[in-house]
Amino acid sequence: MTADAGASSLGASAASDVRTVRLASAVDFAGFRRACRALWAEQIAPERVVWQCADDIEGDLFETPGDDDATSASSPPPVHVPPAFLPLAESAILHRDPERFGLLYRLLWRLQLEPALRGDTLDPDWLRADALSQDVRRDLHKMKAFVRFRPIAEPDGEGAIGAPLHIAWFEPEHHIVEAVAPFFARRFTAMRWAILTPERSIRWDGAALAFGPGARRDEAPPADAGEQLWLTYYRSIFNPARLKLRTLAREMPKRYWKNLPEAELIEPLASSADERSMTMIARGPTDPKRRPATEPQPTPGHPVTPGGERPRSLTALNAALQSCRECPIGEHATQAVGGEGSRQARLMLVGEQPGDQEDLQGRPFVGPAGQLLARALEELAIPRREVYITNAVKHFKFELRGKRRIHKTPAQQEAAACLHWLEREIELVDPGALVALGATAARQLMGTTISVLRERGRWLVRSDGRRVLITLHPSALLRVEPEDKAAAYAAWLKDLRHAAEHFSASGASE
Amino acid sequence: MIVGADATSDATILATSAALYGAYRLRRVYYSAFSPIPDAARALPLKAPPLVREHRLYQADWLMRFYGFAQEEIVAPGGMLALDVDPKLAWALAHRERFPIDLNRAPKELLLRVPGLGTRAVARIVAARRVRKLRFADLERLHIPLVKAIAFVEVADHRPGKSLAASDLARRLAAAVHPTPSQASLFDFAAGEPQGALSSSP
Repeated sequence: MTADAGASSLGASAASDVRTVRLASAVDFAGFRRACRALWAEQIAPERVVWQCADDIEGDLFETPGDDDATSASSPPPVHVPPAFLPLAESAILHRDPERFGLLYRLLWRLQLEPALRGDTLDPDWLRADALSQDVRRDLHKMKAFVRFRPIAEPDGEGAIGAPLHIAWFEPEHHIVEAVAPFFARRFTAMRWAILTPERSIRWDGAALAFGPGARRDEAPPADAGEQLWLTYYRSIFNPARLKLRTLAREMPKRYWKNLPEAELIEPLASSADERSMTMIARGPTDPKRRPATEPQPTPGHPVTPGGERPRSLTALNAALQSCRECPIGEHATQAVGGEGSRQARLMLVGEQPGDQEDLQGRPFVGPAGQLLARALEELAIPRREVYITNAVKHFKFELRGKRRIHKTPAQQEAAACLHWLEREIELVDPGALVALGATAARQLMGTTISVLRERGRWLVRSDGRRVLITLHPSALLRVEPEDKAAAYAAWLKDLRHAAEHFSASGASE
Repeated sequence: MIVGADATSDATILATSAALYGAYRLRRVYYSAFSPIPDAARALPLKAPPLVREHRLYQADWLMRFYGFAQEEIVAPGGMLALDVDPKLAWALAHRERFPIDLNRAPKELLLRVPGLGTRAVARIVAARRVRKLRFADLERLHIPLVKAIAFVEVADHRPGKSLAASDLARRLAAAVHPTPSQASLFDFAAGEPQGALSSSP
């Protein structure tokens, strides 16, 4: 019988009068609610209703009862359900079980007629609806966990190659694609992505979700290089001591494995886990790996290098620097930073110590102060590669503040321990003159504390006869008040001009 | 808390947790079985403690937080939790005189002490028994480990009778709940039944 035939059949239909309700889709919750209200209004008992989805059948044989035909002369009481029923029905309706509509309508029907059913949590219909809802929620959860995207380069609407499109293939167990889509839109808002499933596909273009028909597995892109990275990561974080096979099988059921790239690693990793643990036990305890600490203390006048001998070249010197632990700074720095520049430089610039950037890159004067120095050298027409730039102390000394490493001035002892490296650099490069940038460099080069502010812009003479120009460290300029910056820089440039004169004069004499 | 790197007993660990929950209003304590790594300190063990110990500690922790158990009830001072039975079943076996519990009449606090009944099952029972008299068939629909629970409860058409006092109850239950009493080793795994679950997919 069709819906219009039943309009006048309130309470009078024969038992054989079966009503067929056809929903727009498997997840048409609004249509289901409408149909339920209409069926209740006509007092059609659940046994007399057959539920169908447009997805399941071909042809248009039946009408869905709408709101309009829901009214009848003697209107039955309005539908009342407990608050928990609606969310339960909303998720249970996504289940694959074709009986779900009938079950939920029967529950609704019985809730109207049997008040005690509200509290009867052990009723089979309640329990079944709960179980359906739980299956759906579990499937939603698994989809959130097991979707794996693969990027492809795809031109956007204007034909330009923009951000890659991430495509994933997933086979959900229930009709959850529409329900889970908002989660992915929130989680990957900035990405363009598409999720293909056998029943439906979703696409997110950065602004709106679009749903399309189902797809085939081979429409999703194959494995790419990024996947190798993921597999390497998965292999590396695997902890043989924490392998729980039963939990693994329960939380990552095998039917998901065929679409999970890492699944192929599980078996080899699992089968080697015990062996790895056993090998470790058989090998016995070992000492923790630490960087070798070198003990020698420098004695004044007899600098000791870790290698024993004094390095014969700048390359050897820079290599030997790396293992220097003559003061505590070296233990915490990323690396030692040696000098850089021409091996026959006529001018050597000596700074204080590497900073954060220098420590990471392993080159002197590449941070903000380095950029200021580069600018000054350029203005003075001194090519950076024709001078030698180094530091008085070779390791970065810092203090951790949160995640930032704040520069700390090296102590006098630490500078003294580093002195032999600088002296050897001076011997090897043999520059005609040096520039001491800042107080630490000045003290290191002159062997005594120098007042930089009093002596700046003047040439002093070292005990070995080399001339040393004293001036500020460029980082001092970074710290002056903004309005004074230009003047401070001009004064500093004026100091350095003396060095430029030496540079060009000695260059002309050669 | 990292478990199994030293000789600390489960009783000490749970007492610490109880103090953290009680005195410091901590919301949650986590337990993690120690995993050895190569080239660690010599004082650390090379063999991992059984992972099931971590699981038992979590079960005991839940008993303290949601089931009204006191820490001293779960484990004797200086003692360890049994690895073959869960702490609630162990407690019930040691206190058989308090059972069977009538699911149709007993207060919620006692229902929570029945092995196999979780907080959700108890809430369901309490709600359902207002409108119906619980029968064995109702329990079957509850999705609970019936083997464990049925030995300790009575409903309209079921009484455990003498089986509760039987001396082999502990052994029978342990065997029913965990077919292999110790934690499954990987060698068992490679040779035995769960292999199907791991062979690679086509």
